[in-house]
Formats: sequence, structure tokens, C-alpha cells
Amino acid sequence: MAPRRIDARELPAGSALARRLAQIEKVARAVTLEHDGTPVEARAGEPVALSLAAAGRLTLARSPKYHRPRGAACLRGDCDGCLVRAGDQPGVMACRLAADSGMKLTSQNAFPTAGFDVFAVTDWFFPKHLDHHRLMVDFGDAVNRTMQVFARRMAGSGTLPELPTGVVPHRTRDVDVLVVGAGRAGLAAVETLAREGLSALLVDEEPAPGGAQRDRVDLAPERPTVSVDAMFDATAAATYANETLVVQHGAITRVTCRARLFATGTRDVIPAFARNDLPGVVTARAFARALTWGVLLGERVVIVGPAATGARVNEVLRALGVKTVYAPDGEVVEAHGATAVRKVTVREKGATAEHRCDVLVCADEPVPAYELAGQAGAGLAWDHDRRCFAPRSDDEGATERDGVYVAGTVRRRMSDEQRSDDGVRVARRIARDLRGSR
Amino acid sequence: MTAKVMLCRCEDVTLDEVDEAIALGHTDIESVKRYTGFGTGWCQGKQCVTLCARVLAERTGEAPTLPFTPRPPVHPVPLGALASLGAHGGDDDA
Ligand code: FES
Repeated sequence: MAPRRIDARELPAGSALARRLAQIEKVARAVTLEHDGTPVEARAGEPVALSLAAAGRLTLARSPKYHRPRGAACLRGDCDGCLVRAGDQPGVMACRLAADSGMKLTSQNAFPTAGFDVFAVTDWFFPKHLDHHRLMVDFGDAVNRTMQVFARRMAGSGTLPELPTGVVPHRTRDVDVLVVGAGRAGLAAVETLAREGLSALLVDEEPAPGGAQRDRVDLAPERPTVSVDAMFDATAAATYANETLVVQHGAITRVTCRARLFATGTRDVIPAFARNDLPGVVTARAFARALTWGVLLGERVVIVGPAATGARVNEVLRALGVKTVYAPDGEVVEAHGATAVRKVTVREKGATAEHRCDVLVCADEPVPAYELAGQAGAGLAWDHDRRCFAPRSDDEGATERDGVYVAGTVRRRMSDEQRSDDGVRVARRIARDLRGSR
Repeated sequence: MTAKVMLCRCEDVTLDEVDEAIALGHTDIESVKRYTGFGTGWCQGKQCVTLCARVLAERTGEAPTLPFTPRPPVHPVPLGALASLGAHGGDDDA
């Protein structure tokens, strides 16, 4: 069985997800894309990765060394499993690309296509790993050079555009505070900053505010209003002491500011188990996000892990009449399948069992998205309980680098209300610090 | 496909490879990165740093060393956009 679209009427009337889907269906506009030469029906505005998934096209690329199949695993710009060539632009994240009529998408790094790739033999030649330390040195110079040429041709990410794209001019902005992340913490922070009389610019990678809220299958759709200047669909790609580069629709804005607040939330990780990179192995938030767009990623679903999203997804699936295996305390031992997941071995409470499935949902607790704060110079510490790194900050979100602050779940686990409170608390601290430095 | 445990998807670095690096005495994140190339791909460590740090913590029984500084860009940026940061780029340089 394959992924398919669901509509609001399949869900309990009045449920949060049914209301979301009804809203989408009201404005849905059918468009046709092309993937590797095949027409694909889509809805305008939805993530292209989901249009392709709904059409049963899960394998989008091949991995660099072994040419293993790659597919969308996170649907939020973190795993890079969804890279495609869009038009003549290589390396575009299909999960962040909004479907539009006439789009031409091609698989990358695959010969001839991602669905069937002749170089997948590399995976079998080197069943454990390809040791480039020895492979490249032990056989002498000539072999070495040939291998390099071969490796270069096989690896890489896509093909360059036919024509040079030209220089895209940048803009500049100057504000008191740059806030990255428009989830609960970031939104509460910018409101507080405005009340304190400070100018702020809010930046978020998503097309609209809401943060983690946007993927909640148990909450009715909500469009928080943003009272300050904001850039959506925009990535704070690099941050330096004197400026931060924000990239939106292929153009850079250089932002200068007196304080930077990173309310970047969390990322999902797929844990280490055999064939954890198979298409069809997805994070719980990815599965939930697909549902909010009306796409059911599989009909036989195994959910493993303790994160709340896993339980919420399980509830929706039961309501839909989809058979699930839900193992909140379990651990995946191994996933099986040739080009997509077909079976999974799960250990729970000392017992090991195999389950047939077409999607494996990894509901591990998310980890802090500390990268930008780290770039900015915030210190990091290993969190023993959650087994991940997190930025170090005091009670009010100040890091050890002057002018760099963190708020919300990038700091620690928080309830919905705590996130807003934290945004307010840290914003007040920023206001105090900035007044002091005037 | 074979039963590899993938720790770094962007650069195809397996658990086996990281274990070999550890066996050779690379027990801090930076050295394991230099030996295996994990974290040097498209995502610049967004997925793999946590996984590799967890393996190191398990194998050594200690908290892993701090990770390498996350490098910009957080996501790849088109060269055409970066080019404007040079001498003749934006509205402030006109
Ligand atoms: S980056 Fe697009 S699915 Fe993970």
C-alpha cells in the first residue's frame, strides 16, 4: 500500500485535524508538476515533497558514496533527504518548496533516476563501509587518480544550472533586536520588545508564524498575528558579531542589530539502527506535518518512541481506521526493505518482534537546534538526560556571549505556556541590558 | 540495500566507520569528524552530531567533548546571492 491523500470527512467531525483539512480543501487548487518526466498531480502551495509522496514517489535522490535511496525524513529542512533539481536549480529542498503549476523536478545524484540507480552496486561492494583512507592510498598513484575522477563524477549534489544566474542584489536592515524563530517563545519575545519600545525583526524558515504549533494534529488551525516586521520563508543562514545574513527567495538581507535572540526550537533525529536511512523512515513531526496537509504517508504504520507527537499521530490514525503498532517505550533494532521500509524489528520491554509496515515513525524526543546560537558564540553543554548538546544560558536566557540570547525549547523542554513565558522573560532581560548599554 | 547503520546521511558515514575511528584512538568529536568526514556535508551536522556524540558517550562512558563550531551557512545559499556581498552588490554600496 502506498501513501494517499485523506479528506476531512474521513476524520471525526469537528476534530482539530478535520477542521484543518476542511480549510485546505476549501482553497485547494489542482496543479500538475513533473518529476523525472512523469506528470504528478499536486495542490498549489503544498510542500512538493508531499505532492511527490502522495503520488507514491518516495525516493528522491541517492546518497553520495553508496547510492542508497534517499527520501524526505523530516519535512522541516533538517535532514536533506529531499533534495531535488527544481527547474535548473540543483539542491533544492523539496520539503520547503511550495508546489506550483508546471514545475519540473529531477532526481539528483542518480543514474538514470533515483528510483533505479545502477551505482547502487557500491552499497553491496562495501557492505560495512568504504574506507577512503586505504582505498585511496594503498594502490598507488594511477589508481588513486582514476578513483578520484570516478568518485567526483559519482558524488556531489546535482548539476549546475545551464546558464550563470547573475548577481542578486542584497538589502540591508538595522534593528535593535533580531529574533530568529516565530514559535511561541519568539512571538512572545517580539511583542514584549515592541512594548519596551525596541525595534525588532522576526525571521523564520516557515512560510507563516507558529513554530512547532504548525505541526500539531491535535490543535485547530491558528494564525498568530505578528505585530512587528517579519520575514517568513527566510533562513538566518550565517551570523557574525557585526551582522547576520538572512536568505529569502534567493536574496540576502544583511541585518545589523544590538542583540540577537535565538528561539530556534528543536530538531528531530532518527536514531541509529540498521537501514535507518530507508525512504519511509520518518520523524513523528514529519508524519504529523503530512497529515496537516491531508497526506497519509502509509497504511501500515509502526510508531516507536516516547515523544508526545507519536501518541498524537497514533490517535489520529486510529480515528482514521489505520492499523498501527505503537511502541512508546520501544526501540528500533532494524528496518528492512530494498528501496523503502517494508518491515521493522522493534524491541520493547525485553521482547523483540517484527512488524510489517510501509512507514516507520520515529518518535524520539527532539533535540535543541543550537547551531545558530553556537555560531554566534554561545557556549554549549552536553545534556546527560536528553543525550544532546544545548546552549548554555542563565535564568533569563543570556549566553556567555554579550548580546546573544536564547529562549524557548532550544534551552530545555518546556510546556506550551512555559515557552511564551520564557519569550517574555528573555525579551525583558534584553530590554534591560540594552538600556544599560545606551 | 545493505544493513548499514547510517550516522551521517549527507556523507554516508556508518556506525562501523565511527567505531573504527574510535578503535584507532579518535575519541573526541573533532577527531572523529576529521577521520570519517561526518558532519561535513550538506546539513553541516544538524543530524549527525547528536548521533555521533551519543555513540562516543556510550563507547567511552564519558560526556562527549564539545562539538565543532557549527559553520555557516545553516542551509546552502545560492552563489548569486553571496556574490552581491562583494564590492558591487547591494543598495548600500551603490
Ligand atoms: S530536509 Fe526536506 S525532508 Fe528533511
